Amino acid sequence: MTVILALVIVAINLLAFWAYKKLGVLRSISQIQAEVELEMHSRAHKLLVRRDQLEVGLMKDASEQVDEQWKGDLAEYMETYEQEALMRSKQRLNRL
Amino acid sequence: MSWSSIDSVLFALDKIIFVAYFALLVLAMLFQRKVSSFVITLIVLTVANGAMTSLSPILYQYATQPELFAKFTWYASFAVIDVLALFLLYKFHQLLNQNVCFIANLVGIFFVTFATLQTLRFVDRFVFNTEFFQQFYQHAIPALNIVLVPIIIISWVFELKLGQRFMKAGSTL
Repeated sequence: MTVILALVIVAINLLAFWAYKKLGVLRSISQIQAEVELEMHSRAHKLLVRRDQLEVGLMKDASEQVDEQWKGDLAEYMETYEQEALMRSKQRLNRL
Repeated sequence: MSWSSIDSVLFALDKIIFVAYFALLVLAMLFQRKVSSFVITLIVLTVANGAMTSLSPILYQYATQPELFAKFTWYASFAVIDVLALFLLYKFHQLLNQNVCFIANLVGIFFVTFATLQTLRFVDRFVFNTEFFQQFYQHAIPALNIVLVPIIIISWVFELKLGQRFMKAGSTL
């Protein structure tokens, strides 16, 4: 009887560890997102500065070409953001 | 000091800690005014603490009976509340799409520690008959509960300051 009850309480304890592990996985995902966000923030800032320069007219000479290039860079940035977050989640969460 | 007077002090402290968590929760709602990982953690802590505080006298009364199952109910009930609190902590974060903050992770560690202490004490007392963890169990759980309140306040203040600094840095960009 004592052993059975001990096993039951150990099982409850294991459930606690399992729930904490699940919370840990969720924390890893949050950290990955925060890390990617931080890295991409500086790139977004540079893109915005370029957009401002375009709108003010500092690059009048090749405005259309620069505008196209800017749009291309923005699309690339958004794609990288998605892929980077996905790749890091796969790399790290597989280990858990 | 007799066991009954130590016991009454511990029960009284439990109630004070519950009130402290409740007050912190109200403060967090006033300051943050939105769902965050910190608010979720405080809700779970308040609910779990409230459940333990209200169940303690009943469980204690039942656990004074000599049967092994009565003793088991005492330890297992607290362990189950710890597991449920951990599950709630996880589920709320998942459902509300919240990042798990430092405090939430810390509280998670505390709940796991509490559940482990219940298991260790039960096994120590009834399987090995060593009484090795008696003193530790008796003092560690209330002590950890008391320590958790200032830790939460300090971490919250630190996180608020960090957030303000981040906002300032963002506005200067």
